[in-house]
Amino acid sequence: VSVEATSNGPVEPTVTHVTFRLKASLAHRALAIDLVSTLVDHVKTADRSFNHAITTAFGEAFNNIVIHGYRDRTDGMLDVEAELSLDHMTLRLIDDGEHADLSSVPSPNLDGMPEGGLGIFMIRALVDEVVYSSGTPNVLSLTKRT
Amino acid sequence: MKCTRTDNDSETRLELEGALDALTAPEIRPVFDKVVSDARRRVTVDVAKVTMIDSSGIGAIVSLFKRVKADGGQVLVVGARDQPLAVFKLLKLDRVFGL
Repeated sequence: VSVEATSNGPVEPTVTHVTFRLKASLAHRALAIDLVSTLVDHVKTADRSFNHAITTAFGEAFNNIVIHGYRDRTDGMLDVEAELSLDHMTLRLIDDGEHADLSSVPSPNLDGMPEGGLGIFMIRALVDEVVYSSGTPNVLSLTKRT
Repeated sequence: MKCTRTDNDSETRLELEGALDALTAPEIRPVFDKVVSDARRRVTVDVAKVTMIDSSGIGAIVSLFKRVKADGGQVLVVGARDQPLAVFKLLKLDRVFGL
């Protein structure tokens, strides 16, 4: 894992950027989530529910990249760019795996207690903005505001 | 992820500890499968020590719930708090599981 941080003010930064890069493997899932959770501590108006929501959404996105994007590959890498301010957090997950088509994923019927197909629904429900740009690389941007 | 199974008469208690996610859910499923194959009718899943759950973990518990119920049994989930409780509520499973 490599980490780099920059901010726009020497004393009281209003926006801080942190990037980290790690192998796209489920074995690194807990570490990646711990890193995001630590970053949430620097969003000063974020509470516990904010932390739960963004780490859960990030975890689902991480799963999708590892399981679907890098299916049959063990050399995949994931870059994460985090933008932090007093009242929001944006996470950009950048990968060069297979493209996803988020628009084709149907909403689950929760009354039927589905056993799968919940990840995209959870991501959309837990953050304020989801933007996906497929290409080389693919970029999934998740934004949550306090 | 650690799973401790305790059988007491007709009730089975499964105490989970750690993260129940895409990495660990495949490890836990055989334990759940054995509970189903043993035809246990009253199953309690204690998630008080689950630190985080994702859709894969939810899928494992829902699968257990459906199979035990199909055999005429009942699954209760107890002890959920923090992130796991938020996920159960998001997926409208809190009432189904008796939380």
